[in-house]
Amino acid sequence: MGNLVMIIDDSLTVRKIMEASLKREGFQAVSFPDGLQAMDALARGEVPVPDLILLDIGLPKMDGYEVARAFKQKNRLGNTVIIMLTGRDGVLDKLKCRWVGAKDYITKPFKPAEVIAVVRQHLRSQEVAAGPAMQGLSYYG
Amino acid sequence: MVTEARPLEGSLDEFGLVEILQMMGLGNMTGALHLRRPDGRTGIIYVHDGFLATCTELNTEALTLGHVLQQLDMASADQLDEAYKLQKQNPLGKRIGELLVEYRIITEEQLQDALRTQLFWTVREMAQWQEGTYEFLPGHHLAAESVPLRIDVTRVVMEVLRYSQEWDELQHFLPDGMRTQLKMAFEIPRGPLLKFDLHTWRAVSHVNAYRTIRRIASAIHQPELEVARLLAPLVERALLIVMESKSRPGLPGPAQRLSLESFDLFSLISQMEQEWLRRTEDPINQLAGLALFINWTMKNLTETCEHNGIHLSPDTLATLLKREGFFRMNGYSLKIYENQIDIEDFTQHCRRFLDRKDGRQVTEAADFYELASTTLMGALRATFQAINARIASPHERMQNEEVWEALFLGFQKGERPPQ
Repeated sequence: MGNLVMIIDDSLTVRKIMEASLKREGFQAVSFPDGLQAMDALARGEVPVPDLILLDIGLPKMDGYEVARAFKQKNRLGNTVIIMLTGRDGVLDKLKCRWVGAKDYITKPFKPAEVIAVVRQHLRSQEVAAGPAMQGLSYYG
Repeated sequence: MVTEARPLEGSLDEFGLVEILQMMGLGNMTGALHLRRPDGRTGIIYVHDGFLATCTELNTEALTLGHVLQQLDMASADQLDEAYKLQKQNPLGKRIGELLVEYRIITEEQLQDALRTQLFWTVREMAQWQEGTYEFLPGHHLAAESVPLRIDVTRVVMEVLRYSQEWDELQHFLPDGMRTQLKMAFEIPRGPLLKFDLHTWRAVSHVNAYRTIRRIASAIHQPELEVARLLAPLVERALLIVMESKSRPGLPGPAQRLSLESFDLFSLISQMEQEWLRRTEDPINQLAGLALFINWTMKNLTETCEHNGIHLSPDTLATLLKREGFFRMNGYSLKIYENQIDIEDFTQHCRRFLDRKDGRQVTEAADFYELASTTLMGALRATFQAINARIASPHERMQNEEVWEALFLGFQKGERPPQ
C-alpha cells in the first residue's frame, strides 16, 4: 500500500484533482473540506494518521495556519509532513508557512504532476530522516 | 470525507472470465469489467443490463476494427488508410467505422457485424488469461458517443468454450496467440516432405512481411483462427520459428495517435478555477472567462494533437459546438476562427445586454446571463466529453468527469448574475 496523503481544501475541484492524481500514482488519499472535519475524523480514528497533508491556507472556520499549528501540537502528527496550498504567492505567506511547521508551499494554479513530485520528494526525505533514528532505537532497544 | 463504493474485484485464478460474465448476465449488471494480467496486458469489457456492450484491449497488438474488416474481407488496407487519414484531420469527429459507412465502403449492417465479431474474438482471447486480476466498476462508464452492442452472455460463453478447446492444441506452437511473431526458418527442415495447399502457401508467403498471425490474416483477408490453424503445424515442423513477442501495454498504432491520454486536463482545470476566482465580481468578465476557458482547452488540445503527430482541423470547435447545439445564443453566433472564440466580439455582445442601467431591463439582462452561462458551460462540457471519449480507461474517464463537474459546481456557486 502507498503512503497516505490527506488533502484539506474547501475547493471540491482541488480535492477531486488531487485524490485522482495521487491514486493514479499509487498513493492512498483522503480529503476534507476543512481542518475541523479532518481533526474530528483523526480523533475518532476514522482515518489513519497520514504521512503527508496538503493543506489549503484559505480554509473556512480555521485557516490553514491554525490547522497546521493544531496538527503540529498533536504528538501523533508530529512526523507528518505538511505542505501548504495557496492562491497567493507572497514572501510573508511563505514565512508564515515555515513558522507553523510546514515543509513546503505550493501556489495555485498547480500542475498535479509537480505536486506529486513535491510529495514524493518530501516523503523520501522523511524516510531518510526517520531511517537512522529507527535503526538507533532498534540497536539500543 | 470523500468515499467511493468498493468495486467487485478478485483474482482470475479463483474465477475465470466465463464465470464472471455469467454472473454479470444473471445479475443484469451494468458497468465496466477491468482485467489485468501480470505482464501489463489490460482488457475492459463493458456490460449493460447483463448484455455485453463493447470491449477493448489496451495492447499495441490488440484486435482492431480494421483487422476484423480486413479479415472478413469487408475493407482493404488502402480503404482503411484513407479513412484513417480523414479521422486524423478531426480527432474529435467521427470514428473509423462511421467514416467507412459514410463513404459507402461498408454498410451499417456490415459495421455492426464487424463490431460484434471484434467483441467475440477479443473476449475469447481474454478468456484464456489464467493469471491476473479482475475489477468490476458498476455504473455507466461507456465513453460518450459509443453506441453499445447488445450481445447475450450465453452466446459469448459458447464461443469462448469452443475457442478454448481449439486453443489448447494451438498454444503449444503459437504461445502468444494471434500476436505470436513468426519468421521463416533459414533452412528447409529435415524430415518428411512438406506439402502446402494454396491457402497455406498464401499465409506462409506473408510471414516475413507481416510477422504476427493477426497481421498475416488481415493481409490475406482470412479469419485469424483459420490462419493460426494453417501455420501452427508449420511451427511444429520447424519451417516457421517463433520470435519474441513485441506486444506491449498501450493502444494499437493508429488508436494510440488518436488517443488523448496525455491531455493534461487536471492542470487546465486547476488553472480555470483560479482564473474564475479572479472574475467573481463582474458578470461580463465571468462570461468572457467561460469563453476563454473553451479557448484554453482547444489550445491545449491542439498542442496534444501536435505532440501525437496530428494536425487538428481548424473547424473542430465550430463543428463540435454546432453538432451539440451550443453555437448560437439569443440570435448571436459565436465567432470562431481556428478553434478560438473571438472573445472581444463576444464581450461586446454581452455588454449590449448587461451594461444597461435601466431597472426595467434587469430581468432581461439576468435572462441573458443565465442563457449565455448555460450555453458556454454546455460548450465547455461538450469539449471535455469529446476529449474524454478518446481516453481508454473508464477509471480515468470517470475521475475526469468528477473533476470537471466539481469545477462547474464551483462556477455555479460563484456566478454573479446582474442585479
